[in-house]
Amino acid sequence: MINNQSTTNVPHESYLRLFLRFLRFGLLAWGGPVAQIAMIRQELVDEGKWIPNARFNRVLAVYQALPGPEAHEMCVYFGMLSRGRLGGFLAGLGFMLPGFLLMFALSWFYLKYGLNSPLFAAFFFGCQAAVGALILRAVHRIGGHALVDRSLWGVAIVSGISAFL
Amino acid sequence: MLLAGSVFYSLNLLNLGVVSKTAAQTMALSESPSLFKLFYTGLRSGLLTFGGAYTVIPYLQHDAVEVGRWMTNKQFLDGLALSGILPAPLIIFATFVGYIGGGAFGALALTIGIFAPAFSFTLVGHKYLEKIVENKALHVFNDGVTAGVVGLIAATTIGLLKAGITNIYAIGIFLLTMFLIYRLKSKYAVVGIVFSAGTIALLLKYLGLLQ
Repeated sequence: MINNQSTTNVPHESYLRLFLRFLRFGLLAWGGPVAQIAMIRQELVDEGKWIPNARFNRVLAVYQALPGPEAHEMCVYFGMLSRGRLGGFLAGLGFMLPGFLLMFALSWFYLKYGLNSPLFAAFFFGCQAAVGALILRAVHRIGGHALVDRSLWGVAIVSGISAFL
Repeated sequence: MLLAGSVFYSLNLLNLGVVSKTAAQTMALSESPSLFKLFYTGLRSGLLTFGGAYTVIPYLQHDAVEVGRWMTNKQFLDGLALSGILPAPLIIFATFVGYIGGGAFGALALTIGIFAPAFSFTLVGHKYLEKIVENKALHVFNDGVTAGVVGLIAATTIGLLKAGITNIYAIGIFLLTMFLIYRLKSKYAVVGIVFSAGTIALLLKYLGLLQ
C-alpha cells in the first residue's frame, strides 16, 4: 500500500460496501466521462474528503494521458486506496456492471427486434436531449474545479478552439 | 456528435481501407469470430484509446466491420447510438460489438479484453502511477493536461448538442433537464430525469407532435 499522508482519509470500507458504492456510481454514470468524473469528485473528494482536490486532479491527469476510460480507472484507483487490489477490482467491476448489463440487454433486444420501432426511436430522441444537458452541466462543474487560474483557462480555450479547426 | 464523428471515421476508413465501400455492403458477413479473436480485439482497442473514449471507435470499426466483417456499418452506428444513452463508460459499446460477433460469450470476451488495461494500470502499476502523481515537476504539466481536456470536452459537447438537438422539442427537453439538474440536489434525480425525458418524447410522439 502507499505510504502517503493524503491517503489516511480514505475509509477502510467492507468489500461489499465498496462494491455497492461503485455500483451506485455506475447506475448514475450518464453523460460521459466528464459527468462521471464530476460525480466521483463530488462524492469522494468534496463530501467524503478521501483525498484533496489537487491530488484528484493530478491523478486524473495521469489517467487521461493513459489509454482507457478515466472515470472507470479513477474508480479502480479509489477502490485500491480503500482496500487494496481486490478493493480496486470490485470498485471497477461495480462501476462497469450496470452499463454492461444494460448494453448486453439492449444488444439482445437489437438483434431480436431491431431499432425500427418508432416508439423506441422517440424515446431515444428524448433521452439524447436530456443526456446532452447532463454533459453540459458536467463540463461547467469540472471547469470550475480544474481551471483555477488564468493560464489554465487559456489552455482550455486554445484547446477547445483547436478542436474546431 | 458521436454519430457524426463515427460516420466520419467510418467513411474515412472505408475510403482508405482494403475493402471498398460497395464491396463492404454487398459482401456477405463472414463467419462468427472466435472468442479469442473477440477478446484480442477488445484488448487491442483498450490499449489504444489514447486521448479519450471516442478514439476507440475507429479501431473497433476496423476490426469488426472492415476486417472481421462480422457486423455492418449500420449495426455499428446503431450500437454507438444505443451506448450513448446508457450510464456507462463509452467503451461499453464494445459489449454490443462482441454480442453481434459472438452472442453472450462474445460480448463477455470483448468486454473483458477492452477493460483489462483499465483495471491493470492501477492494480498492477499502482506504484509507478503514484510516483508520477507525486512528481512535483510534472504537476504543472498535469494541470495543463486537465485544462486542455476540459477545453476539448467543451468543444465536443457543442458538437454533440448540435447533432442531438434538432428541433424545438429537443430544445425544450434540454432546457427542462438543465433546469432540473441545477435545482434538484439528489444524485438519483439523474435517472428519473433521463427516463422522464424519453417518456416525454414518447408522449409527444403519441400526440403526433414529433417526427
